Order: sequence, then structure tokens, then C-alpha cells
Amino acid sequence: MALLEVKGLTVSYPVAVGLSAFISRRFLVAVDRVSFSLPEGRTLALVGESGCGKSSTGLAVLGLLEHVGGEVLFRGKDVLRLRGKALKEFRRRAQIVFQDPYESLNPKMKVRAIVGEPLRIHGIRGDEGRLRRALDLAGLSPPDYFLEKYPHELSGGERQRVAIAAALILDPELLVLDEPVSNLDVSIKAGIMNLLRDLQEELKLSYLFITHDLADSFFLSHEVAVMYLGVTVEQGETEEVLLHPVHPYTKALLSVAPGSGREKVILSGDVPDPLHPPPGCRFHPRCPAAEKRCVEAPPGEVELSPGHSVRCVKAESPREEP
Amino acid sequence: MAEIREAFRTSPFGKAGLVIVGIFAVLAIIGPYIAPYDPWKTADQLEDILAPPSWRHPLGTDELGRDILSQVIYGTRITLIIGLSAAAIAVVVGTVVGVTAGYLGGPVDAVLMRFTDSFLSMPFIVLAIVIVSLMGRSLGNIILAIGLVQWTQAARITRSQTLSIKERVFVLRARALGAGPLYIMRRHILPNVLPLVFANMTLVTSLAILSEAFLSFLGLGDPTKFSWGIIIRYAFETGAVSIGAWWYFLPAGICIMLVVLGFSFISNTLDEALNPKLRRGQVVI
Amino acid sequence: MGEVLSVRDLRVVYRLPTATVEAVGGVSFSLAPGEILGLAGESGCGKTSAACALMRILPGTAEVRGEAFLEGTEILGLPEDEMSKVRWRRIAMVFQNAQAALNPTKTIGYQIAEPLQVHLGYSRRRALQEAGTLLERVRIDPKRLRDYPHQLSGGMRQRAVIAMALACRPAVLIADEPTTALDVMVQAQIIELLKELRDEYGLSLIYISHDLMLLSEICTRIAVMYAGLIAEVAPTGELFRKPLHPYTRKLLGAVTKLGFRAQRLETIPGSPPRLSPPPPGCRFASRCHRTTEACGREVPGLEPVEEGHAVACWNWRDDGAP
Repeated sequence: MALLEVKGLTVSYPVAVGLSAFISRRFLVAVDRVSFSLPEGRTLALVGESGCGKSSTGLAVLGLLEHVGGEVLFRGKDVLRLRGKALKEFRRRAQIVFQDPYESLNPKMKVRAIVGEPLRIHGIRGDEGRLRRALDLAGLSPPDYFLEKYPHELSGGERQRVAIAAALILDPELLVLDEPVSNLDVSIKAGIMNLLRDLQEELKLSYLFITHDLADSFFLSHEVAVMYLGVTVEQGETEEVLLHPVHPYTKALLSVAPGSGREKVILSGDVPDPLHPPPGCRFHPRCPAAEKRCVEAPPGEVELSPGHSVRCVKAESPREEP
Repeated sequence: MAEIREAFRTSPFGKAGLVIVGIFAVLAIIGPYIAPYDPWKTADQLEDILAPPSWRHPLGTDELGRDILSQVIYGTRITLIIGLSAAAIAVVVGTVVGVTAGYLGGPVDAVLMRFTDSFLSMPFIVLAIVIVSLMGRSLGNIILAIGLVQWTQAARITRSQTLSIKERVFVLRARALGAGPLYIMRRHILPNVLPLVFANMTLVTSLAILSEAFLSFLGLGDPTKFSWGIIIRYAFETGAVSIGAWWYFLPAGICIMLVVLGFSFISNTLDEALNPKLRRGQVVI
Repeated sequence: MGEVLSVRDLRVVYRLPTATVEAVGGVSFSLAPGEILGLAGESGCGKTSAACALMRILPGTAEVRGEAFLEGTEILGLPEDEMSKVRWRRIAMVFQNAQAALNPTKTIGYQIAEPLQVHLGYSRRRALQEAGTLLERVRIDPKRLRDYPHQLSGGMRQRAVIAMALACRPAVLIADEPTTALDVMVQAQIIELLKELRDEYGLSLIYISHDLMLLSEICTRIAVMYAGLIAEVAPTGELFRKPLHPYTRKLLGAVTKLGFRAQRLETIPGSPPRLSPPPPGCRFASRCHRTTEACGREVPGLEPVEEGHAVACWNWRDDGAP
């Protein structure tokens, strides 16, 4: 059984538009019926451009957002319906690491307090050894050097390691990694990427890896889900999706990734306003291969091979099977 | 902390504020030991009634022949106690209301802030008069009355600061860890609003001192204590202004002005240090 | 001499109240007409300081030494009133943060027309007309002349800034991480646009970025900077094929790549040296895996290896490709 099973996840945000905020609330649908499953010890990457809903998905999975629909099953229990003790137990087993370590650590707290905070919140008597072990796991050694420091006394890479140490101290099973290396310099980022891979192997962690960088997802993930305007357009094994993409958006996104060596497919314009998503396939206004039927109805999900599915009418027409 | 030190180092007003408040603080502590007379001691001779400044009474005497200088020195302690305690009450109440409203948001916020607005819309001095007349003219009641009318500003400031801090990622992280609202308000919001609260408190102190003077002047002060406001009130009752006994009311008036100015200088300097928008001449590499 | 820009021994020293920091420690390079030179390096390597020194827009605490010949005229020693005739007219710059480069209270049209009126003495009408043409050239509907910056998307804002920079037809354009805050698709659009403009206007470009893969897609030549010095400079293909400096090699090994799943990414132990003052020898020595006695003693100069390829390392010969 998968550790995490997400079914038809929908996330909306209320939007206040002038006076109408008083009369009726409008909702911006940031994530629209997204489904995926994450087996134990594996990494699923959610990739896409800003505003595609990948971060909202990550926060919703942890039960941190309001106006969420669908199901998020963690070991079979729906996170969205957990309350009280059961919710707190879930919070112990699922942790998050954010993009910006400058923002995600309270500037008024020392490393000791930051890394020890999860223990305090969960009323666990934290002994010094546990703190040290967490810092050690995150590659902050010697721990004594770091324990009494404030975040502003550390480098960007060290801060992100502090955030990772705090996420590890409760021995979680699931880590949501929300762009954990996007603000770091190349050589520091490489260290964090290696660390994340080692930790997964050592602690059998499962990662939900949210990133805009396809090359990063290629390095770290077993599976990839590509999102566009709140919808997953293609998902499957990382090699399959990133080396043999089927959806026109995946192809375009891959082609413009620096160093992909593919012929560029540069889409013009910007991603449409999510308040007014285009009808039919959400990608059709920018799709180089759009047809009439793309405007009419949103394409269903088609399974091309076990585990590799795509949302595109082109794929809906039966393919020649060898 | 480094920013605060730097702000006071570079600002002449900040330094002046510290010096003024520092001198009065020392006076408040050692006042009773250096005051030349017991401020309650009435005159033995007639010529000491409402006497102008002389060697014996450097700031003259009042209508009962009591030494004004000693009154002003004793008044320093009372005035500062009233100012600081009232400010402390205002800031504690304001911070609790502001942080709670800001963090919890929704209906709690709406109710608390309308409550704050209703306080703001009332003329505060009228409110204070009502409180003091209902509860009696004791020092404690005056402090309470001033504190209860001055908390609104602290509530507004801490609420807006809380609103911005609660959007910070470290608060989201704490929520993801399973922390409850009380924990987050105490451990994450409060430490980050405290510097602002502190800056606000210096301002509220000066406002509280002015309020006390005003209340006392209106005859609502504690008649058993010599605060600066009370001195001016007595001077007024005696008709010191019309008979030209300037030494009676001027010293207390100048003291009020200086202390208020001192606290305002400190408050402005703190504001400048804590509010990046007010900072000037930053070096950007 | 077939060079648009020739920089010799450029040094930038910041005199701060607490320390003296040598941000750029003697950098020389030249720029051929129509060339796109990449300046690569991690944060704090001095790439932005060097660029701002050429524009003469550094704060008063910075001291600039060396020479820079722009179309034969030395510009680092020019009096400010003469420099103001060169800045934006012969050499222009676009920054990472387009939002900050635009005045939020003025229309886009006004902001593009202004330099034309000020520097070229155009009438208001003619300037606005030209602004429309420029906007169209950067693929923004000229109707948006009347829009305010906040009404444009991030990509459009950066394009408007490019239009502003090109208004006076400069010979050299410095682009300082112009796409770092933008999505890959928008990044691809901007890069395509810059290449077109280069061909059309005969521009020469200096493109500053921390992203080597991105530079490989746009630059003819890349200079890798480390701690205020150029470590290696080579034609793009050559740099990727045959990197000689240990830092360049590590950096290339630290990058995640699409289609190649490395077991581990290269990391660089330690952190860059303090530049107040810089260490005596090679600045990379403290993090280098192969150091000799010479490295700690003397700064290696840029030594030509092949046509257009130079490296600043004492041991590049011994450290042949494995």
C-alpha cells in the first residue's frame, strides 16, 4: 500500500474583488482534481511553473490549507478529516522543508530551540542526544558549534540543513520538500541534494518534492507529475516522462530547460489568469498542436503504459500497439 | 539590538532623550534624599507664604509656605510611576488584544477591533474622567484609568505587525509541526512584535504623563500625592497665574515638557531603528 | 582593434566602516562586436560589482581602479558629466529585479520615452512614437504604453526594461541575471529576444548569471569568476568539453542534468574566502583538492591555453582530464 494516496485533491482560495467580497465570495481554483500516490521510500516530484498549483498541493497534503476537497490518505486515513490527537500524530509523521531558509526559521530563536521545537510541541522530553543526532544527520557537525547560533549567523546552506534537522527530529515518514534548493548557490545546492538522497536511503523516507527545475527532479525523483494551471498534465516514472514526454506542455517545458539539448519550443505569452481558466484543455491557447476538440471538453486521463498517464486528446485516440 | 544601538549612537535626538529621561529617573530614585524640605511642611513665618525664589527656597513656596523645589522633586517619582505603570497596563492590554485579533483573524478579529474602534471614537479624557469619578481619586485608579484609555494604539500596532508575521514561513512551519495558536502566539509572534511594543511603550509613557497632568489639572488627581499635575492644579486653585506667582506652576510645567520630549525622542529613535522604511542612507553592495 | 569593450585590471574595493572588502580583484576581458560574453559565478564572486563598476553606478563607498575602453574611450576615469553622455547611450544595463527598475507611478510609455527626450533630445511626440516601436520590438502590444508597471506580468516588465535600455541604441548591454526571478518559459522568451536584438542592433552583450547551463545556451564565451577574479575563460563549447580550472570542473559536476542521473553531485567543501583582505595565494586554494606550494604563495594569472581559452591555475597541466 502506498504511504500517501491523493485522490481528486482540489484547493481553492477565496478572492476578494472589491465590494463583491461582501456579497458573495469568488474562488480561485489553484489545484483541480489532482491524484497521485507515493509509495514508501520513494520520491514523487511535482514540477511546473509558478502558479501551477504545486506548492498548494504540498501544503494541502499536510492539511495546512482551508477550502480543500478530495481525499489525502496517509496510511489509509484521510488527513483532511483528522482532528485532535490523530491530527497531531499525523503532524509527527509528516514534515515540511520550505524554499527559503531565511524565511522559514524564526530569527529570534537559536538553532537549539528551532531543532528542539518539534519535541516541545509534541511534549516529548528532548534529550541532548536527540538534538545532536538530528544535526548530525543533516550534516551539521560538530553539533555543538551550531546549537547556540542564531539563523543569521549561518550560511544559506547551513540554515537549510537546520530546517532539515528540525524536520528529521521526530523521525517522520513523509517529507514535503517545497523548492528546498531554489535559493541556494550551485555548490551548496549540490550538497543538499546529495544529503536528501542519502537521508532517503538511510531512513527510508518518502519525499514529495516540489520544484520548478526539471533537472533537479531528474536527479532526486522516482516519479514525476507535471502540473499546468492546477491540473496534472502528465505523470509517470521520471525517466519515462522526462526522456519520452508525450504531452505538448511537458515537451515544451523540457525543451526550454537549460542544457536539455532539445530543440526549443518557446510558447508565447504568459500562463492564463487562474481566475478565468480557458475552457476545454487548459493548455490549448498556448498549445502548438491544439485542435478544435481541445476547446470543447477537458481531456480525460489516458494511461499510456502502466504508471505513465497523460491528459491530452491526442493520446486519447487509440495508438497503434505493436 | 545592534540597530537600536546604532540608531542611538548616530541620532542626537535619541541621545538627548536618553539623557533627559536618565536624569529624571535618577531624580525619581534619590529625590527624597536630596530634597531640601519635606514638601508637606508648612511655613512657620508669614513671609514664607507664596514667597518668590530665594536662597532659602530656590523655587519659592506655595500658599501654605511649602517648598516648591521639594514638591517638584517628590513629584518626579510619582509622575514617572504613573506614566510607566499606565503605559505598562496599556501596552499589555493592547498587545494581548492586538496579537489575538491579528493571529486568530475572522470573527475574533472583527469583534476585538470594533471594540478597539469604539474606544478610539470616545474622547479619551472624558472616558478617563468617568472612570476616575466612578472609582475614586486614588493613585491606582488614575493609573488604571489612563492605562485603559491608552491601550488602543498598542492594539492597532501589534495587530498589524502580527498580520505580517503570521504570513511568515516560520509560522507556517510551526503549524505544520502541530503547534496550536497559543503556542504560536507566545513563541513566534510575541518575540517578533516585542521590539515594536517597547518602542510604543515609550510613546505611551509620555502620553500617560500628559494625561495625568490633564486629569490632575481638572481636579481628578490624587490629592494626597505631589505629582507635577497636582502642583499645577494647586497653583491654579490659588490663582498663582493671576497674581504673577510664576515660580509656583512654571517648574512643574517645564518638567512635564522635558520628560514628554525625552520619551518622544527615544520613541522616535526606536521607531527609526525598528521600522526599515524610516531608515536612511543604507549601504547596498 | 576589433573590440567594443576592453577591460584591464578592473578592481573594486568597498571601504566600509568596519572593513575594506576587495570585491573585484583585477579582472581583464574584452568584448567583440556582436559577442555574448557570460560572466558566471556564485553569489559574492564580484560579477555584479564588476558590471556596476563599468556602468559607474556603484555607491560612494566603492573605489574603482583599472581601465575600461568603450569604443576606444576610457570610461572609468571620465568625469561624471561626460560619463552621463555614455551611460545608457553607449552602455546600458538591465537588472534582475525589473519591478525595482520601473517607477510604479509612471506609465511604461513615459518611462521608455524619457531617456529618448533626455539623451537624444527627441520631442515628446517623437519619443512616444519611438517608445511604441520599441515595445513592439520586444513583443509587447504598443497599446500597453499607457499601462502602469503593475499591470504587466513579470516577463513583460523585464521586456519593457530591455526596451528602455535599448532606447538609445547602446553598443553594449549588460544583463545582470535578467531572468533569475522568472519561469523557464519566460526565461526562454527573453533569451530568444536578446539574441534577436543582438543580431538586429549589432549589440554586444555581457550576460551575468549563476546558471552555467543557461549561459551555455546564450553565450559565445564564458568567464567563470571566483572570489573577485576570473578563474577561467573559454569559448562555451570548449569550457564544457575541457574545463581546466578545478573550480570550473567542480561547478560543472555540481549541476543536475537532464538525462544523466549522477550517483552523486560534486560538492565543494568549505566556503569562499573572506575578501577583507583576500588571501595571499590562489583564492580557491583553501577548497581545492590539488594544491601545491605555489598556490598558497602567489595568485596565478590568467594563462592562455588555446585560442580564446585561458585559465588561472598553477597546476592545470598536471590536472589533466581523467
